[in-house]
Amino acid sequence: MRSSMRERWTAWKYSVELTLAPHVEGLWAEELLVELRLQGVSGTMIGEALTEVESHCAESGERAEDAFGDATGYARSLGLPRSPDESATAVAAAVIPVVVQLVGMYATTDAFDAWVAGDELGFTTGMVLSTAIMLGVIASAVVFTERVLRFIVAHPVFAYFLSMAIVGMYTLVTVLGRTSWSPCLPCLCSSSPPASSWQVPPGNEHARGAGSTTTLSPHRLHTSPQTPVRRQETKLHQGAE
Amino acid sequence: MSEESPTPSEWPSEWLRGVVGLCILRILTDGPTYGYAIGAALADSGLGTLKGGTLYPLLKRLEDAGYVTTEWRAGDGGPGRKYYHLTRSGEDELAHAGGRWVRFTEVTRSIIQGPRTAATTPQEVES
Repeated sequence: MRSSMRERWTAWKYSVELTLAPHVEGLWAEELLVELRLQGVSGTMIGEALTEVESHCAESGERAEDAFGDATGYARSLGLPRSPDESATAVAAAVIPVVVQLVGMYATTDAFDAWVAGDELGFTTGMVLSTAIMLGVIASAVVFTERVLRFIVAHPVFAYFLSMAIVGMYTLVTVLGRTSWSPCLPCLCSSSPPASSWQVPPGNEHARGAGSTTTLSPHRLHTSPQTPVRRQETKLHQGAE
Repeated sequence: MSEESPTPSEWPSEWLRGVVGLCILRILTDGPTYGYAIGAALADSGLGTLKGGTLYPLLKRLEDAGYVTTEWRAGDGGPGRKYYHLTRSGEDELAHAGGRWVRFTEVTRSIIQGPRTAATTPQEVES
């Protein structure tokens, strides 16, 4: 009973491999396919490599493991070329439209509130940082595609928790960068300008309180002329003169 | 191939490395054939059983070098077979490198089986 369950499980798990190459052990075939796929070899060449092994095993009656040794090592020894469809350029060409779409989507949803209220669209630290995280993750996945995929294949559970951690960090940054940190803001704001100045239209500053966002580098983004910083700078210049 | 030799002739792999490619090219001069048949022909000739893990990567290198081309044909009711054809370039390689290999074996043979000479002293070898 147990063995038949196991057989059925194996038949189900390796159904693709056993359909393509019934004379090759499922696990061996899977390892071959995964390694060649990770190398970015084209589907046609992967199919040919597996069929040749299948052909050999069917005729010799040998086990693939015995005749060809380790599947991963055999896959590497073939020295098959990376498919043009898997080149970094091709991956980037596939990813860039998605990135544009994502950025457009976030910009639209973020702009919605401001549009309803009739305000100008402002950027919060959270939006900038979370966008940077998103673009950073996507860029590294494109540049290090093979390494990233190998890592996921080798450590699927760890990779899952890592991806969840990245999503968590993304969410945390978005949320923290948007809501006020009232308890510690007075001291922070004494040395740096309130970030709300480039988030809230002039005049609303006081209503929102000093610093509804963190103090992470707002200098560059700061556009409103009626902010404490600008006034301080003006005073400094006057003092210098 | 079906004969089970009591003393399987397993040649050192470093000897085989240099010459198996040429032996394969020679087998293919008899006409296109597929991997398993090539392995069987080599075994029949006394070269020993070449593992699939050695034979197929070697065939791939011959293909990459342009010495052979490949073509899939239907097998006898089983999976398809990848047939290897010798190209013109492969024939040239066989004629050239094959000739060199034959001379090499003659040289090594004449050294190994050559008559002992009393003239060779350690000092002379060093100088």
